[in-house]
Amino acid sequence: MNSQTQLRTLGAVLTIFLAGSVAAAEDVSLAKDLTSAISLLGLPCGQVVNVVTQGNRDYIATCSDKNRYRIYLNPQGRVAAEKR
Amino acid sequence: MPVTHTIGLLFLLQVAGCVTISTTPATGALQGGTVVVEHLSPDAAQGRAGVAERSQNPAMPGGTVIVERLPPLPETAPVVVETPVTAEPPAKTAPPVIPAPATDIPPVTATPITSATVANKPAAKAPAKVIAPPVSAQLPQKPQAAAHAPPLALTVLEQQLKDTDAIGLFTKIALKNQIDDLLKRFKTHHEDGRKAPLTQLRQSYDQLLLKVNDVLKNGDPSLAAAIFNSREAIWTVLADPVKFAKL
Repeated sequence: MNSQTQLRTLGAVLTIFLAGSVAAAEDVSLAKDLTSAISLLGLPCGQVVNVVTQGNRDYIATCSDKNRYRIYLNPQGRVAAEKR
Repeated sequence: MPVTHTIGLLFLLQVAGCVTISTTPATGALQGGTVVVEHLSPDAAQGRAGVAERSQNPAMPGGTVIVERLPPLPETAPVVVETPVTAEPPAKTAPPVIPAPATDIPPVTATPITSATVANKPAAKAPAKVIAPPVSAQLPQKPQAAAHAPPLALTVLEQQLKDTDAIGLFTKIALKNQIDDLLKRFKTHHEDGRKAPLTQLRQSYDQLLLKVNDVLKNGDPSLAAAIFNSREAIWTVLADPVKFAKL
């Protein structure tokens, strides 16, 4: 009984830990993705340091040089960036 | 009292040992009139090549101490000083080896140069000046293994770009947007050449390839190299109206 509780606790901790790391990896990859997209659009940014999701494929990206952009897919299927 | 004697003796022995250690190299080097060869720097040796400058050290009794100053390359160098002499020739031969890889790189920069300079400067001087800075920028981006890779077909490259995990969705879409824009400009050029000259298209094409390379070089260097190696093949397709029409 005691060992079962310990196993469950360990499982819960591992799940939380792995879920957190996966979420962090997604954030990092999204930030890198937005960094590359902003760079391709020729806008100054440096690196994206923070991302706030506004909707489906609609983000507010904060850059290391303090620029902020709204990055989204417009109805024409193009990546658009608006300076905020 | 005996203890202090012992300590004193030990101290004396230690000091004596230090003294012998410190003097051994000096006397060993100069015993029996050994010759010390000092190498001069090339500029210092210019005025006296082949002429030995000798000086005697009066402080060393029992033998003449000769210090010869010789030019850097002499035939006497191998006799006395082994390691410095053998170390110098490789150092001198090394710099000529370095330019060899540089000749491998100009294709990277050659394409932007031709597009940038063809319009204004047909002279041969321009490439020599412009080549240097981009070479350093492109050097780490080109993997050695991919240098011999054959150019890939456009469709294969397109599929690999779609499939790669090195870039995210937004980057892929942004790239696709820019590729489509460039293809539209090529189409316009082939329909009416006056609107978009080929030199401008080449500049845009090179810039786009640089962007692709920048985006891919860290995450998927092999694909970046494949695209890099295929740039001329892709260009021939894009620039040729017949081949372009088949896309």
